[in-house]
Amino acid sequence: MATSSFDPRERRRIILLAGALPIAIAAVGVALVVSWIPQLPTPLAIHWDGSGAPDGFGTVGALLVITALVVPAFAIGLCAAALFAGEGAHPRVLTGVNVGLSAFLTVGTTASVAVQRGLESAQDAPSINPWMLAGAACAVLLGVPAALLAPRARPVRLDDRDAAPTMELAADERVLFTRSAGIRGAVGWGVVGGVVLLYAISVAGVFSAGGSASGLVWLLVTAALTLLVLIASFWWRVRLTGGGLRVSSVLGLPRFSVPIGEVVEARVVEVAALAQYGGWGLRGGPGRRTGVILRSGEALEVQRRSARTLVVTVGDATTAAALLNGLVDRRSPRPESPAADEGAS
Amino acid sequence: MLIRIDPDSPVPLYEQLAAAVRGEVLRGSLAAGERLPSARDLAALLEINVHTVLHAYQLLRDEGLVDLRRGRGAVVTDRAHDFADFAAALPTLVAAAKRLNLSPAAIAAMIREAY
Repeated sequence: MATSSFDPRERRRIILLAGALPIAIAAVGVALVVSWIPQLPTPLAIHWDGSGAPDGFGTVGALLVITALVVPAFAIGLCAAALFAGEGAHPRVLTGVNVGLSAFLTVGTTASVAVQRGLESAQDAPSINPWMLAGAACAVLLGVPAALLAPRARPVRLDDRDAAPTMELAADERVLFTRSAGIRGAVGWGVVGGVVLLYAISVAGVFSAGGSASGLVWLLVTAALTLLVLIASFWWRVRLTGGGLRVSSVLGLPRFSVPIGEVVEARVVEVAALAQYGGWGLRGGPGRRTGVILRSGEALEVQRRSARTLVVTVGDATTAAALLNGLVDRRSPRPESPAADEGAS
Repeated sequence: MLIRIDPDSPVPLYEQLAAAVRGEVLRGSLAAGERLPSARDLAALLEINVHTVLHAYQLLRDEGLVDLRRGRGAVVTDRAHDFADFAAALPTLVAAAKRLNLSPAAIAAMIREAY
């Protein structure tokens, strides 16, 4: 596994910057708002329209939820992500986002309460647009330095094991390797379920709001398209025959076909999904690589003659790579290939 | 799943194919419930006769390793679990045989005797 872990000092720095600092900022906001409660009108303006006039009213609790619950929840979640995601965790990005978000939300909510102190009616609440800008400025002013103070992401270590295995094939030997490659079941179904739920809520919303039939149709069409894209991104099949390699989503498209004559060499590599490919699905990677990235870990990497290198996180990649190299060797024995040619980057 | 078939081998193709599938079940890369390619697809991919594939699938069905259903192709049965258990016993046997410098043929002969 390509993992990275931080030493205790770095961990402390991450906890302070990505966890404690955003919570401390929010705590100041909570303290100020609570101290102002006696001077506030009821109900309180809690939402403003684009022109800056208040259009939503409620209790001070609704605003306190943001600073007292949302910000700490984010801080704890992102801090844990920076600490434990290991491979590909970007503590600087996570810290910057976390501190910036906390500053923005705290300034925004605190200011929107502050401007209503001593008012008879919340209807008279002034625009908070300037304060939202101030919040954004605070987010940058605090988030960027915090990010720079956080430890750097560890470079991902790539294992250099027997990277280009091969197997000897008889002159007329017929071969077939097939294997499905999918995102981890719980994650995949969780995402698909979440999307279905979101669209179901939207449909229910459109219905209850007396929305038009055409609006509903559009919603269902986009829902279906989103699901198709998700399925095509997350579930793939790899098939290797004497003719070459085919990597296709379970829906048939997208599909990559690599004739055996196009293959320079197949290797087994360790992939770090976030750090190298920025996520999961069909991805561009470092050094002109196209990745079908469904998890981190073992992957089959196929260097092609005339196109980008193809990387697939398929299980049993050693067998697949050995078979592919065996087929290449049978076609035309390779000269001793020099160590990994990284290609133009 | 990896299947290798050599037409130049003296072993009949259908036996090679059945052995390959059996081997993949033993290796754990074919699990219970997994579906094998249809006989026609597999024949096309391996460039062999479809009857050869059907012959191999029937052999595997007779062993109880796959279920053949019209329209559903060949599905690996629950016996795959038993095969996996059996396969787990093999490394011990092989290690013991290696300590005694016994060839695979010699072990096979001993197993045949004992059967």
